[in-house]
Amino acid sequence: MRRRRGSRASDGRPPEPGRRRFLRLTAGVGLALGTGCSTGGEGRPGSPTATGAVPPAGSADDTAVRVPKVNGGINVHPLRRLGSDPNEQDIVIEPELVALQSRAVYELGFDGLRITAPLVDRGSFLAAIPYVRAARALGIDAVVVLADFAGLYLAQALHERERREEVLQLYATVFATPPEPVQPGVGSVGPRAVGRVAFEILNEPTHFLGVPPGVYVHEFLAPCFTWLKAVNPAVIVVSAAEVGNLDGPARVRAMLEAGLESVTDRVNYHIYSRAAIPLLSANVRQIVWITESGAAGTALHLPWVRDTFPDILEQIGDATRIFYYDLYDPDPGVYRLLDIRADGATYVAVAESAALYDFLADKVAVAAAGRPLLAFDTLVPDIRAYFPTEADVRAYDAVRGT
Amino acid sequence: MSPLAIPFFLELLLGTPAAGPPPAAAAPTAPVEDGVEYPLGWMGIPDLSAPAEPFKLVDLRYRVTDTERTTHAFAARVKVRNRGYLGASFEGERREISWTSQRLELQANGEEGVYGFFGSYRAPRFILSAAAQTGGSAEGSGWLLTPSLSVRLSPGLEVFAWAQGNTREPDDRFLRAASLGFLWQRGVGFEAAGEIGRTYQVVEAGFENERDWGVLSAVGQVGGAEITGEAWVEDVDGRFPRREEGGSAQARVRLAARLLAEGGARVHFEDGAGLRAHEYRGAVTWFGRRLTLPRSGEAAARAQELARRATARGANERIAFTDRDRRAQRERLSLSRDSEDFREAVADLHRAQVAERNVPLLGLEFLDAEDALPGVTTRAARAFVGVPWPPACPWQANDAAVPFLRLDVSWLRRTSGVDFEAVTWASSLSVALNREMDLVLSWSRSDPSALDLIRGVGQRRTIELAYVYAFGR
Repeated sequence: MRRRRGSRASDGRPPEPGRRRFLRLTAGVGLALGTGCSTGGEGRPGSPTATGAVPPAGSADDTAVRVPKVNGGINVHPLRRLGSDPNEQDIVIEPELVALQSRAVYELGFDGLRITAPLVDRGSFLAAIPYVRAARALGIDAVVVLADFAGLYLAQALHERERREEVLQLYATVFATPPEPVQPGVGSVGPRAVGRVAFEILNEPTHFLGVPPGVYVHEFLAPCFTWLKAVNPAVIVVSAAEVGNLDGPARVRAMLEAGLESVTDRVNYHIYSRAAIPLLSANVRQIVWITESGAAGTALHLPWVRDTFPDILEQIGDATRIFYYDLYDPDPGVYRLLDIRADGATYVAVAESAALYDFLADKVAVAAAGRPLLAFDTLVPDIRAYFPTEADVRAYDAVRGT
Repeated sequence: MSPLAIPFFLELLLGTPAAGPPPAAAAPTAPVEDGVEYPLGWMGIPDLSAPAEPFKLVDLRYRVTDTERTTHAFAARVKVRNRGYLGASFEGERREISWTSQRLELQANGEEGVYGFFGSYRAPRFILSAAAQTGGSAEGSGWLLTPSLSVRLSPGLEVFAWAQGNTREPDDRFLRAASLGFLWQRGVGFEAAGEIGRTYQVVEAGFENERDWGVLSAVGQVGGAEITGEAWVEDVDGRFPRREEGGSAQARVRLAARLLAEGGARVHFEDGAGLRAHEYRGAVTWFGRRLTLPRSGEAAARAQELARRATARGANERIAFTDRDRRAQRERLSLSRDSEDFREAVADLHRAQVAERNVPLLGLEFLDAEDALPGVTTRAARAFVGVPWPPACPWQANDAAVPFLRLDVSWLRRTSGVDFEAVTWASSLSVALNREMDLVLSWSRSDPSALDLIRGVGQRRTIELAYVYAFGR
């Protein structure tokens, strides 16, 4: 069994001296960001210019284009700082860290970002906001997972009718409101031509919460789906997947037999075992997303993405999107694509899974066909524009309490 | 209502003396031979063929359970002259009445708008049964009908078939299930059963699964051990086809005259996914007198003799191995026109059964189980200590001993989700006043599971008090 995922970045180091608390920053504040990403920073893999509208990839001229979205989705953790926070009331969200991960998502050509916004964890909930908004502004779809990393708080809230509506309203207000696109014509089909938002209702409910498959469908997913579609039909509701090993397919099948397809927009699988692929039915009458898939061990990352992802798409005919697990987490040598380290007053990202990184970057370069690519920093000059506002914090505190 | 008031209530209603001895003074009736001493006195072997005049109380059960609310359960059964047994019971909202004669069995029950009816006729060569159910969310105004037929081809071999239909015709199909099977009792030492069937199941999502299944089981006495095995396979055809297999094996081995060891395993596989569920258990029990397994000893031999003889006379009876089945068989045969012919054989079996009574004094059991579908892991341990009558230390053997007091304690831990543990502690104190009368006081405390916590259900404490009177047990 894989270890519990999604834990906050915490390596025990104290916060860097001199870093300021940025939570109260609002859109429009200009601040030059450090270009700490060691993977090349802006411009890689092409040489983008920073002006003009964003023509779609495939234009024949030399105008800079946005990075082609050719690598599916990626799981991103709501990283807001490295090290513990001695003052949880005054949340620290390091802009450099948010920019670092968001830049990697954009430059590596991912078309979707999946991130957990845990209700019970104020810091991580608020930290998920800029990741989602920046991704959507860049035309990247965002899957927001309504799940806590530990405990039953959110599950209890989603089960109880009155609290459910209050909680879903919070998520809808904070995450489903579309941001302004970074530039017109960013190429998405979402509202205001930005990336779409999807809400995934809980994560692996049997494995993490002890909720049986049929109970999940009837008592959690169905009421959440009904409420969300009534309030905001544009929101995509994604069912929870189950564990990606051989225990998972029977649970997903039990969900499907309990009526899953009629109360979700996307059926969701996790796949961490090749043996599980043929057990996951191709007979689903709904679009399938694989919102987690990866291999434990850095050396296995590239073969998994290069060889197993096509097998998944071939064997599960309804599958349209796979989210690689994951971009960064605190455990070296297991799943993560990047390592993120403090470097003086800023941070750097190191391609720990170098072979996979190069594979993804090459796919982007091939799709770009030599055209210049718009740099992340050109499109998002200040990540703080997407930070939680005071209204967001008030909305959260009103539901969760401070 | 006090359970002791029931006979008096019956007397008031029927204008006749309440049948049978009042439970508190259930003196033995017409002992066949010298009896056995119990805490309430000596008991012999009653003559069940003696007619009631016109009623005789044969069963009285009362149970009160207190959890979040208090639930009462009551059941009573009387013999009506020599014609049959009339029973009535309620538990919470459930009501049931029944009539049993040698060949006819009728039953009707109802609970919160769901009504069920059952009828069975036992002919010399076959048993024809039918069940019907209506109401509730499953059937609505339709009927779920389940006829069955069991044909005895020889004294030891039966073949049976049953089917189920739904008048609402889900998926435009009246037939919902059908099966064919057999039971072969090759004497007392070996028994085998098999069944194959098909079930059409409409799942909640609205589509239909066609389930073809088969099961084969056998139990045999091999020396001092009883070995039981079962294997099954199910092939599900539908939108999500799969094939599942499983089986179980259990052994009960008499290690010494008073020591029994038991072990068993149950597994459930799914093609491609491997082991989906398992349960392993082991137990040891120490007895106060020489123990006898159900398929060995004189009682088993006499049970076979009685069944064969009854079947030869058209009573169509299987060999009965449990106290409950033997009592039901005794009651049926006592109503037969040939009851006089069976009287001695019935009494001999009952006498042998009493003579071979097991008196467990100390026991320990462990269980380990896991089911990947709900993601639940279970560990359990149970222990009990018994005090025989007359009271004696556990190491003292006494062939005159009968069960008297028994204290059971159990611990069960269910783990679901990521390390959400729910522990249940339970204990019960049973008092066997005599062979026909028990008092049981139970207590349990269950921690909430993760799902309980999500649903807002907290810790549950249950206290239960039960009284059982069973004439002729």
